[in-house]
Amino acid sequence: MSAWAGLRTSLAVTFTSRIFAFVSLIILGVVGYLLVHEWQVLEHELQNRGLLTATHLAQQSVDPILREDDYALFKLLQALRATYGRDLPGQERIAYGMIVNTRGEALAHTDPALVHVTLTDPRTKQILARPEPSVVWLTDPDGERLYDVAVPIRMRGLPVGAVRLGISRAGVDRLMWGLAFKVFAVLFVLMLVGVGSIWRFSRRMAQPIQRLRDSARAVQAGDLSQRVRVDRCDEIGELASAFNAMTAELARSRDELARKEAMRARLLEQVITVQEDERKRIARELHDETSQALTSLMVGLKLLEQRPELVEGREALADLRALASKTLEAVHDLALQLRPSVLDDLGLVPAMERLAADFQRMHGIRVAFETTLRIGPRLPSALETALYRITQEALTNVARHAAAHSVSVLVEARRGSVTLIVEDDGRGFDTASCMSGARDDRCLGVFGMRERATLLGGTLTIESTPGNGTTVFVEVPLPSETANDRAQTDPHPSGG
Amino acid sequence: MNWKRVWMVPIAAWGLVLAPGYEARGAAEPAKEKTPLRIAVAAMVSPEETITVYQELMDYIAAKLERPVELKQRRTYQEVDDMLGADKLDAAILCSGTYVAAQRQYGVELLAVPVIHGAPTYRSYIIVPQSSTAASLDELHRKRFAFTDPQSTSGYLYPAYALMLRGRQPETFFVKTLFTYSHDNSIEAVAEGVVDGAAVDSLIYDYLQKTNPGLVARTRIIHRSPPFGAPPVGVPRTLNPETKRLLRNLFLEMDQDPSGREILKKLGVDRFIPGDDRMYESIRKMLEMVEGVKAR
Repeated sequence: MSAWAGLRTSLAVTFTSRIFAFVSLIILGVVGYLLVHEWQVLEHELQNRGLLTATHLAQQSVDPILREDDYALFKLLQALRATYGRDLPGQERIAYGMIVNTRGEALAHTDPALVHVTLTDPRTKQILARPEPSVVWLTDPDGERLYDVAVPIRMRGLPVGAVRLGISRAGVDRLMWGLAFKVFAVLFVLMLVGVGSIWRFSRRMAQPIQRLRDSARAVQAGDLSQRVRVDRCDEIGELASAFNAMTAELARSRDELARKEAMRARLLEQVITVQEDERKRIARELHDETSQALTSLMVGLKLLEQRPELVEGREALADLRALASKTLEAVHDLALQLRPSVLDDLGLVPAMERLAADFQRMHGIRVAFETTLRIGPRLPSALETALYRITQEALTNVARHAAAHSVSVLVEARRGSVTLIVEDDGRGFDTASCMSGARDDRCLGVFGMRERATLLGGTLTIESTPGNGTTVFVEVPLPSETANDRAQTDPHPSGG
Repeated sequence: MNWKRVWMVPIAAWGLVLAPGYEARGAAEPAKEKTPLRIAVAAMVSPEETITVYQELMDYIAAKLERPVELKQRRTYQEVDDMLGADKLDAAILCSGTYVAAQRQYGVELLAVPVIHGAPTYRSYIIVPQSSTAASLDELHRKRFAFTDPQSTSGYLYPAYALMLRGRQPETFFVKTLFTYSHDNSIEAVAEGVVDGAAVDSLIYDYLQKTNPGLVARTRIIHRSPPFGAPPVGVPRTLNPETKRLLRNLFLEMDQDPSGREILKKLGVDRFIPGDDRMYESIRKMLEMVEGVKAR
């Protein structure tokens, strides 16, 4: 996982970023609201002060207007300007002021050019038409933001004129921006600190989870000895305990499974041994008892055949003798098939040669047998038996299913292992069908071959594709003493 | 005599330019008259006026009469009275009480009376806070009371008269009195409970009821005076008859002229009627009685 993707999904990162976003939103919302509120309060203050100042000016202007004393009005405006002319934070500056009469003519104006000019701007018209105190937001041509405060001048209710003052909001603006800046700077620092501590906290939270993850991965890879440290009482601690219990159970199951497997293997071994012993017994019985009986029978029949007085029955006797002879042969073959004595007496190679010859004779399929085992001490009998049986089964399969012309059987001994290869040129079969657990006898035969090899610690592989023949590979390790013996006596194995 | 007057015309014209306060009588030729007409506005006709309305009225008169008109305003009613008597004014919109006084003192004549909300009259209302239990002026004994102006008919003269009819005087009947000099202020003082009662102009009270019903709802009228004549246009006895005639017609026909209707609307006046001095008789009586009591 790339570093960026890892960062995005990290527990600590998502936790921290979510909390940070949420808390930031709340704080910024509240602080923003408070600042805006404060701003509004200040603005109201400014407006009220402006109205107060304008009203006071209006009252002072009544007599000078009635007297038509422009100079007095001029002095009034001048005094106002002097008091409020500066732009201090929180204090308003008077940008302009004027006193108009009932015509809308400016009797006094802070801009000398407008004195005695009849004003026609909308704001003046507004106060003349609706003589109520009012405050309007304006922006002057220089971009300065102002309040325009207009107040009617009345004498006993009679309109005498109006006062207009322009009050700069720059002071308030600056105050509020300064405040906002300081507040947000402090907030920023605090939030950095906050993020730092949330981050640390979430990392500590994430650690046990990471440990669990690593242990789970190790278990997945096969290490069932993993145990996680349980040092918390919360859900994570419970998870750790459960993990440990699960892993222990997995280990126990695996051991159980291995034990059963071992027992099964032993059972199978035992079954095979019993089977071989049984075959040996039956073969011997057939050979000793049954063959001898048949032979006696044949001899007796022959003698009988030679008696001169049994002329009519001579043909029948000859038939009987032929039958007995065939039966004897069949019993012989049966005994051989069951357990060739040559295997026990002379060893694997002669037994295989005999097997090959018999097969060829019986089925008409050419068998080529090669081996490097001619010289040297014999293999362990279990190994010889297994290889013989595997070859027998393989050849039986060739006879039954392959429709082949020829088969080659190769037995080789290398350093530490014996290799058996049975290859035919028949029509092959789909090995996968046996893997999927198909239950026909062919698959059982393959399973049996493989089990024999596995019991001896070896492997069996079948390569076959339909139309391309079949090859059976068997490789079984030699027990160490035998391997050493062979190495000493057979440095250059040769074919036969 | 007329000849002298004719010579004075150019001088009067210069006077208009150089000395705004220069007084001169107009000649009898209305079409060519250039002597400025001096008109004072000494009373608020209706609370709905704009600041420029009186100037516009002056301009209207000037256009109709084809002579310049000057607007005069003075702080006290007495000044206006005296100016009327001294020929320093040609006409004035007067407070009703001021008209009565001026008529008595200088023989000032009635030129026209405004009709406001259908009537050429108004009243004085005695008002108390909404929560007050008082139901008549008598129940305001030993309470705090607000007047508007010592010269106001509705704001002082009438309540003083009403008390004097009962043999009492405002200074002793109430435990505390004050002058607010504004009917709006008096109404507010009552609404806020600063005083226990006040006397205010009905026109202003009714106007505020429309524009600030919340404020007015906190007060209650416990007494309505009989009707008084509305603030009239008065002229000095010695005014040129032709001028007087023209001026009267101007006011009476104002509602038939489009620009005149504009001004009437801005004044909050329906129209002007010739009026009758008898409409001010009640005020005259009150004035005499109150002055008489004071004189004792």
